[in-house]
Amino acid sequence: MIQLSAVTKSFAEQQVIAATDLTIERGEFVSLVGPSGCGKSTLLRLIAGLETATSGEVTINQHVPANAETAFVFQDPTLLPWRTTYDNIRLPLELLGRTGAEPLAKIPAAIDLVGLRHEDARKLPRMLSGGMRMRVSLARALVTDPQVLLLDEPFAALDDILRQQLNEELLAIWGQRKWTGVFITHNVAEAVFLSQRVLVMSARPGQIVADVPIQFDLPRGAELRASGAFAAQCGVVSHHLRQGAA
Amino acid sequence: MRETLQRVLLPTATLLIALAIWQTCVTKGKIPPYLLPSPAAVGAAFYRNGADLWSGTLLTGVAALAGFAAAVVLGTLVALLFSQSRLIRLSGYPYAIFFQTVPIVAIAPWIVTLTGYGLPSVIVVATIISLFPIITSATTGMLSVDHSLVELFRLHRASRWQTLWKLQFPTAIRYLVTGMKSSSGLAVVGAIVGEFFVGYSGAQHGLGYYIRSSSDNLKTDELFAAMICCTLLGVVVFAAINLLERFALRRWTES
Repeated sequence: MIQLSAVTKSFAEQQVIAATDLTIERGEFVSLVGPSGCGKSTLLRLIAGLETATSGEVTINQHVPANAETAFVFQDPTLLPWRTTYDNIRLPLELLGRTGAEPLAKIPAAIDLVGLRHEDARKLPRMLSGGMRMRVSLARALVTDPQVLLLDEPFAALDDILRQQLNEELLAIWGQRKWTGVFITHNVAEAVFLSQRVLVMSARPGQIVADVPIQFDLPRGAELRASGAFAAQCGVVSHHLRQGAA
Repeated sequence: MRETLQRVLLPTATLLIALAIWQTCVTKGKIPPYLLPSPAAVGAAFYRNGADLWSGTLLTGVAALAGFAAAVVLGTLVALLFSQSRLIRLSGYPYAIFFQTVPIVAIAPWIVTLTGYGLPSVIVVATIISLFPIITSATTGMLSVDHSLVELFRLHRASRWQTLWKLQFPTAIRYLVTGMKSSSGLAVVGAIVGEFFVGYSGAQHGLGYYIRSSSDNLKTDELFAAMICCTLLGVVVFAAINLLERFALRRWTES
């Protein structure tokens, strides 16, 4: 369970996040949408333990974020260019000192899970397409079996069809593994499609102004995207987003 | 194919024409050979002193490479240290600049006094002159690490040592190679300057010695032959680093 109580964050006198309370249950998939510069990324980085709150408290299962099993997927794939796919995915295990046979067996499993082919395992990042690099990045995040997966606009740079495909795959993986997911995007349809809850943030200083539950059944796919109910749900989120931006 | 042929033939033609003009000017203009020897005279000097020039080039090459290797190791170690803390960097960097600004010709005699008239002195001079580009390029490289990657390492509780070896050092390699390219040429210069002052006692002499003795004796044709050997040595060392970059370090230098 991720819990934020009265969290604020300022950078050099400038308040980026106004007092925020938030609870995300274990195994929940939540998206965070908001206008550019509203502090969504900062909020995610607070949960990751990459930033510390100016006031208030962030906990993951009652512990400080730095001690949690958290994985982070960045906006860019952020792969080490001199490492092959396999070795990039291996990196978190290496850093955590888990290099026994059992943890290493998770690498081929992660490669399968994100839909990479095994002949890609020996390739360097520059030989892969943008979408494939993002899959490697996702596999690297999943290889440690994290309890919490934080994603900071991971598919923003991809074309729409590829983005939809990766959304479906990500949701399928979440269905199998049930980590707690926090996903940042400024694409309303993507947020509604992926999440069980969409949180809407206001313009800076950011604050959560709406908490919209999304109740579509899994698996979700193309039919859902084309449905009237989906459009209506996107309409609700967009409405809150416009109000928050004003 | 035609493109490659042009790339080889055209510069060769330029060279031949230049040599022909040079030869004609010297013979028709009656320029004394101690001022400007003719290409034919330089060729004859090559022929006469071929064995000496070859062993001299080898000796200078060994000294330059040893100095260069020492500079790469030493410079990288200093850069590793600089990359670890801003305070260390601020304290040490001005003295690294000192190595670049000090005229090598001015301190070479003192180094020779210190380390004796032999190969070690030449290597030390070559090391000092080629050290600076290595320090700056490697330091820049280790500090040019992608910020997100640093956070990825932090997120997985990487130790300082892990971050250094698995992230900072591999990132620095491509910068280091750029530094090595300027540094290798300087190492050859350093070896020759060193030999100017050392001379080497005994039978073997480097190119710096030949340059000094042939110019002292106004044997300008031999001086030219030695100059050409120096240039070729520099080219060979530079090409070797390019090959190293293209083949052995490709994984780190291409992005």
